Amino acid sequence: MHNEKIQEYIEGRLPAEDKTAFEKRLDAERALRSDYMAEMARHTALQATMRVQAKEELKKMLSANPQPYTRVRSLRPMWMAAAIAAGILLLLSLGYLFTASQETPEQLAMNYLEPYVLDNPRGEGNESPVVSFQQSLHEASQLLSERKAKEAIRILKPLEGQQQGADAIEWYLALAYLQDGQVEASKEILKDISTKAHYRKAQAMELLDRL
Amino acid sequence: MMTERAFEQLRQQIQQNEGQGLRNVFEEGRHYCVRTLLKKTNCSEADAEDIFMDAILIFRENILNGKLQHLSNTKTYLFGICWNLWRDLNYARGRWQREQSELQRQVYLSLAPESSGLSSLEIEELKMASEKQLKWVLEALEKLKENCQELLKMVYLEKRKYEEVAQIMGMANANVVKVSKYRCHQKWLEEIQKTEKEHA
Repeated sequence: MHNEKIQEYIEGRLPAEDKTAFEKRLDAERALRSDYMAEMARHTALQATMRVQAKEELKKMLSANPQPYTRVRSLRPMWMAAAIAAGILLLLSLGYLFTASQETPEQLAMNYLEPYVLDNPRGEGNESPVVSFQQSLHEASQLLSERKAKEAIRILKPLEGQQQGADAIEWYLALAYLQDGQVEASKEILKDISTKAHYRKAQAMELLDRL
Repeated sequence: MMTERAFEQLRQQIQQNEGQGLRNVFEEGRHYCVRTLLKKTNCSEADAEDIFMDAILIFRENILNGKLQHLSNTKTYLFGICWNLWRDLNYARGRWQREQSELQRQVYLSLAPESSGLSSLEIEELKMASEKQLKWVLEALEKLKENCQELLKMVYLEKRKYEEVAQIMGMANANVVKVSKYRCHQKWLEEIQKTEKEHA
């Protein structure tokens, strides 16, 4: 029974109340903890072995056509690339001289965009609200990197006003509006960010200056 | 964006071990995940490819054990897994030395995430004990009957629900699975002890 309980605990199959009770016993009973450690070591070794096997099987299954990952490289000769680069530089500097205004709102948004990184362990627990809002933020940042501002706004707008991740939601929404050309809406959020303790306060003030 | 219908189709393909579903996921996420890992971390190209392959395995496991119930964007979900794997691997390599084998790499990945209430010393013990067990585990596993091996894989690696295992293996119900799994596990432990003695 004792071993069976340990196995169920390791497999994550114990109901919540049994789990808590078992953890209390683990803290209190030295013999149980020792058995648990031994079982855990075997379980870790078994899982590692099975995963190596599964990985091999997966590789075989996918090996029908795995193209090695290669960075996309230009096929043009170097001199042509240099000429194009020089041309672009010239055009950019002429453009800068004529327009005097720096980046477009969309470019500005792209300059300040960083992907939102998930912190849930291995993408597990997708069903929990915390993870789902993190997933939404990650997804929105990904959409922004693909210049799909409208779709990002559609994801972010319903999250507005919620407590969890409020700062990140505000920041990405400001960037989304900016990328979408809704400069006033973006400014409003940025002003709000710049007046409080916010992890993007400095960037918000910088962005407001540049707008 | 993946529709509910497309997700359901993918889930069924993976549950029935049809390669096409997972192949599509692989193709869809590979370039993005490998490229982003290379851009955002200091990992090598080989590491990035390897991490992505592990992520595909975890993706498959999360579908099989029901943790993943809906999916809006395959690429970003996969990258979330990749990122966490990279973080764990990096942490493990910092704590210990660089792994010597794929088996050791998998042990690292199991132990690096915050382990359930174990002290640093216990994690160290666990690592040493697991690595010692690695020598016997496979040999003992291969001595088991094929259905036992399959059952343990579904329960321990894929973490499938007992009800589903019962259905796949033609067992009467979840309780039968539970009892059979326990017996297979005990048999496996006996084989480990025998193997250890043989090699002593």
